[in-house]
Amino acid sequence: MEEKKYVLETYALTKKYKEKLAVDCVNMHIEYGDIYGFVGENGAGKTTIIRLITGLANPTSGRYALFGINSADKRIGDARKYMSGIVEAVSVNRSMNALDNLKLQCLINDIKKTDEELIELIHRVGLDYQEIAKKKAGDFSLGMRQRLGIAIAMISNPKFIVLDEPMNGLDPQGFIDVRETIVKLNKEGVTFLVSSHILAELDKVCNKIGVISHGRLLDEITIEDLHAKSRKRIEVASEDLEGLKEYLVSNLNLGEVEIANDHLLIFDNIDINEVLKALVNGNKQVKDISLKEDTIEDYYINLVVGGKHA
Amino acid sequence: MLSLLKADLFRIFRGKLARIGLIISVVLPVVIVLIYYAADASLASITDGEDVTFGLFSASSLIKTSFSVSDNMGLVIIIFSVIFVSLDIVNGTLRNKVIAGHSRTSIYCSHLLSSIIYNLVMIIIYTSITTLLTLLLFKRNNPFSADEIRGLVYSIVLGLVTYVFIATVTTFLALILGSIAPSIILTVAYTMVIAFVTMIFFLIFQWGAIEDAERFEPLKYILYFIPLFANGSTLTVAEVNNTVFIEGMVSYLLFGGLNVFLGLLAFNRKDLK
Repeated sequence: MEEKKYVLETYALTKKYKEKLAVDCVNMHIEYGDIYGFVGENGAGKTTIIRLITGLANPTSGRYALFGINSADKRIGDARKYMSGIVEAVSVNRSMNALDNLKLQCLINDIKKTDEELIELIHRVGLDYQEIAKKKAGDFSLGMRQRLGIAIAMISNPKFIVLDEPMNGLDPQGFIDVRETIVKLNKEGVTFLVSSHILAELDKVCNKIGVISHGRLLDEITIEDLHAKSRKRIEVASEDLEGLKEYLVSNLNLGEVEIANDHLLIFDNIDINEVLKALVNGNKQVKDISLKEDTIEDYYINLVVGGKHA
Repeated sequence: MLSLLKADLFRIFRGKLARIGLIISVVLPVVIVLIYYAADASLASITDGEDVTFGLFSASSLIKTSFSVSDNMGLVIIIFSVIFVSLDIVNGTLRNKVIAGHSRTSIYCSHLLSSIIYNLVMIIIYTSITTLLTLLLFKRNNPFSADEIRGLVYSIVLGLVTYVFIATVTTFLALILGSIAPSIILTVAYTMVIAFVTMIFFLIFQWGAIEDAERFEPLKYILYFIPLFANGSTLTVAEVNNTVFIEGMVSYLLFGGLNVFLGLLAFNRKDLK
């Protein structure tokens, strides 16, 4: 396999269902080692793009390259052997237990693994084999099925894993387990494409995000760039925001101050301790004061909800 | 492709449904043969040993009809065969095959081959038990005449090929429709319609249910080219000739091939669930 910069690149990828344009000319780039977060509202086109790149759906126009191999190339099947994923719902045989599901996937991938190796994999995704040995996958909770799905996706030691809403149905511990698994595998060299609408979760794992809305990719940005671009601010919560604003502007000579979402936002490059000192000196009552910077959620809201794309 | 076939067979034979099918294929022939045997014994006691059933309660007839797709084991096989293919879509495990890099053509062919294997295993078990029991119990109609043996061989070969053909229908419908209930309904309806047409044909030409049946004679040659019709005839008509057999085989080859061709064409273009 040729060594390329991108694990996945799409070129004007488009999918039309009758009259509805589900994916509109998308050009996305996932580099080796990325944990690429795919962000967008329900029906934005995230899953459709994932279905296109995994071969489940055929593009209306445009193409993509996986590990440098063009989607129209006959070798695209060979390229897919290095990827795996969970698309829409977890794909498990509900009448089989976890071990048999993994054995089935071994046969599909044409790989040999011992029962011990498979049980080890079950434990790695946070399932207790002794507890589930005799249980059919159909009797698993949604979270357990999600974990089994991740084990299935990991079985072939893929270089690129696509996870469509992997946090769905998971409890808080499940969130942490999946997040840790993603980070751990990424350190071992696995590239990820993770779609989710739980933006806070993506913030914790991704190094790059792509924002999609109404089938169009609005932006691709690394988390590093996002933080560099983001405006750091001091947020103050108080009963009397107008009075507080007037007091701080006149006492600290502030220029960039505004009130939004029941908070006073100070964008001036000023030490939080100075603000605190001024508040104490003026005997001003505040409920909360904190230093904030833009998260993926803020970025998304600015771009999609606050922007002209909404 | 071989790995996919192994995976599909593992999926089919590891499941509870396969075990239920296996139990049915063993128990059902015993029950059916015993019912026929009891009925035959009751009739024989009334008619003083004379056969008034036109050979219906005979070993030869029972062995031949065990290949019928429109009743008993035939229906069980059709329904199970559809369920096995559909479950791959419903469970989403078909997605894993595509993501793992298998071509749509390989996936289709693997489903077709695994369905053929399942169908043949089930019908061979069912027919073998039927044959053994009927040969043991229905001594009155044994040994078979040379004509009967030839007819039986035709019926067995055509019967087995029928289940290969049925696999092309079930695979096509299950993979294209993608859900269990409509696929079952359509496949069963298809076999039932053919069974009904065969029965009408049988009434007209064999039992002379209507006068001037000769004017329908040309219809016979068209009907034999309808898949399953020839098989239906070999099961119900005592005299099976080479023409019926060859026309039946040609029909299966033609329509089975067409099913696979159209199925592959549609499946390759279809967006999968």
